[in-house]
Amino acid sequence: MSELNVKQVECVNCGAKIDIRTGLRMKTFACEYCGSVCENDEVKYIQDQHELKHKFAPLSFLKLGMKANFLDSEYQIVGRVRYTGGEYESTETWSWDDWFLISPTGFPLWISEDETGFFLTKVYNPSTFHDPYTLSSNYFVDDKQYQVEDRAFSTLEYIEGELTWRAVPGEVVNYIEAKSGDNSTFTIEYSDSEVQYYTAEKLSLAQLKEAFGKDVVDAKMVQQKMEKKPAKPVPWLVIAIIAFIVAGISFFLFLTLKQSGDEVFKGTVPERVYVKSSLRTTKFTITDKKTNEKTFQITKGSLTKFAFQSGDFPYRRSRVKEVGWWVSGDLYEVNPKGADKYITTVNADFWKAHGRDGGESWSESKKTDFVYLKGLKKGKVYYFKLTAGANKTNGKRYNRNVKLALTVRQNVWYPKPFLYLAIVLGIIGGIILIIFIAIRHDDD
Amino acid sequence: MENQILCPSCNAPIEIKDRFQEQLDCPYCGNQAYIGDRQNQAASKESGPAQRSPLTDVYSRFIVGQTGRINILGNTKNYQVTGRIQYEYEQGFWSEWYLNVDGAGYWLQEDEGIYTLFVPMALDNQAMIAEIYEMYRQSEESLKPGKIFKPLNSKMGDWTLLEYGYAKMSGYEGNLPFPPSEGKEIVYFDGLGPNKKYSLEIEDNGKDASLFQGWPLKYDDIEVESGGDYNY
Repeated sequence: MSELNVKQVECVNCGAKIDIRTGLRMKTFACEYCGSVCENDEVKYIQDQHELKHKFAPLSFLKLGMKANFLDSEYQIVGRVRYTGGEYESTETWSWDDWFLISPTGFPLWISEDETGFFLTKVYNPSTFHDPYTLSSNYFVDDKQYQVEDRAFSTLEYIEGELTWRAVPGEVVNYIEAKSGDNSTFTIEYSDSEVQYYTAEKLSLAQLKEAFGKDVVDAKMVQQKMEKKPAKPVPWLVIAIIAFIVAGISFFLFLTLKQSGDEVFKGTVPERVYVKSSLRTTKFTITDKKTNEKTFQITKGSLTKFAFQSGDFPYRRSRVKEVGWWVSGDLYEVNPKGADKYITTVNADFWKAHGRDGGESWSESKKTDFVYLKGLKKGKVYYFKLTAGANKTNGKRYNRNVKLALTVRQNVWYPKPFLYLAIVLGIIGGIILIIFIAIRHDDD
Repeated sequence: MENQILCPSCNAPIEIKDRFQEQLDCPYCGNQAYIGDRQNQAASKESGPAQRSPLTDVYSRFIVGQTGRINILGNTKNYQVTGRIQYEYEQGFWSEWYLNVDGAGYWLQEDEGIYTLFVPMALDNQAMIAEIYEMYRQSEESLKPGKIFKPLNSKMGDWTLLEYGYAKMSGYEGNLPFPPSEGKEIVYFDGLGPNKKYSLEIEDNGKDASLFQGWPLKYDDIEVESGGDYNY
């Protein structure tokens, strides 16, 4: 027998005469006129040809009835199935066509076609069990190692022509796709009653031309297809993990950069500063032993950090819930030849609060504040003239002695962007993780 | 001639091709007869017009009477196709071709591009058969591919289930080693052991069963020559 016999059957649904090439081996056929998907004499499904024929049109030059030479035999395309694939942990999908070819000796082949090109697929006859149910990252088949790339499912979207197996749109097949170093593929399709193995080799343009004939193959289209990179589904879980990792690194950088730079000044007010909330302020300086203003010199870097630290602000907890106080520093540049030059004013504020919540008492405070300044000149000497005051609280005035300290570091990095990045990525990672868990829950 | 027998229906002389032959398929009138008990002469299962079951045209590399060469575990041997049984199952059809390989009988299973060469094995574990059949009947959740079964024969080890299902004998032809019963329904359990395939067929009474041990063949392991009695 050198070629497939053509027989005609009538569509059970519309009565149209359909050419059949797989004879009684045919298990499923789709009527090209009314879209009925039939199994034997039974209509199993009706495809909306008006919409789907266009929507699921072939991706390339391949079409039913075409003949090709593979494995030293002539084959004919008798059917096509459009699948949409998806990974269990992802909402992304991708599509491909499986063209079903059969030889006059009944040997089946498939050409799988997606946006990356064409693959010749044939059934694999196993001598050992390759387990699809246990998670595995590799399969060894005939001494060749295949690395798992997809553990996914495919949904049958559309059928054209005839198939020698039972198929109906909407059915779902679980599969594992693994690739070897030479770009060949090992696929496992599995259900609750059957495991099927397939191997596939990528078809080059030259192989397609040789198989189908030079004039048939649209070389330009095929070339473009093969140059395209596969659109991989978005691995949401991986993205969430990466987001958490980058968030962690950012937070670490934030903590590290907070300590960056070289300390050029550290001074404490010798006496407690009497801060008053009476709108009058206390002016003071940090002095050296000779009661001169203590100065600092900038020698490198463009960013300078000022860290103001406050001692405790005692107050009567029974009378007020919170108190606040502040420090303002006028920065001066020393001018050995004349009056010192005012540069800018920096402000720091502090607060302290307490209360009871659900029978538990709590207390919070902020006793450190940072100010960053850019543009202080290298080689110049600076000092602060400080002012301190307290905010009014509950209409009361609280005048207390507070100890203040100032540290200046030069050549520092501003750490806050890394803190913001860590927070944003942490939130994004958390949202993705919640969506992923919700999808998994729906799948289950 | 010693290796000839007369068709009980049309009396035509029919050549007996091998010593395993227990069933006769008359090429002249189409009658089928059981000849396993030759002392009692060939007793026709059904006399009259042709009774051969209709074989579904499923396209195959093989035809009855065809000769060729087959690679069995590294040894290339001559074979002749003497008969065929065809099964229909949920997913389609498969054929089991009966081969005479240098005087020994083998079954060559052809199923959607997969070729496996089987030989029968004795069943030593009847209790296991009942257990497996009951699992199938009860649709037990644990019965799924990957399940490991205990040996059914002292010469085999544990085996892993690859596929199972219901099938029905839809046709047969040629000379076979037993009288096939058209329409026979079986539950099949195909499995894998180390470098071997196993096929367990349990009949619908849940008791009668056949066990086969086989080897996967590649397409090129079977070389087909011309010839044959029929051409579908």
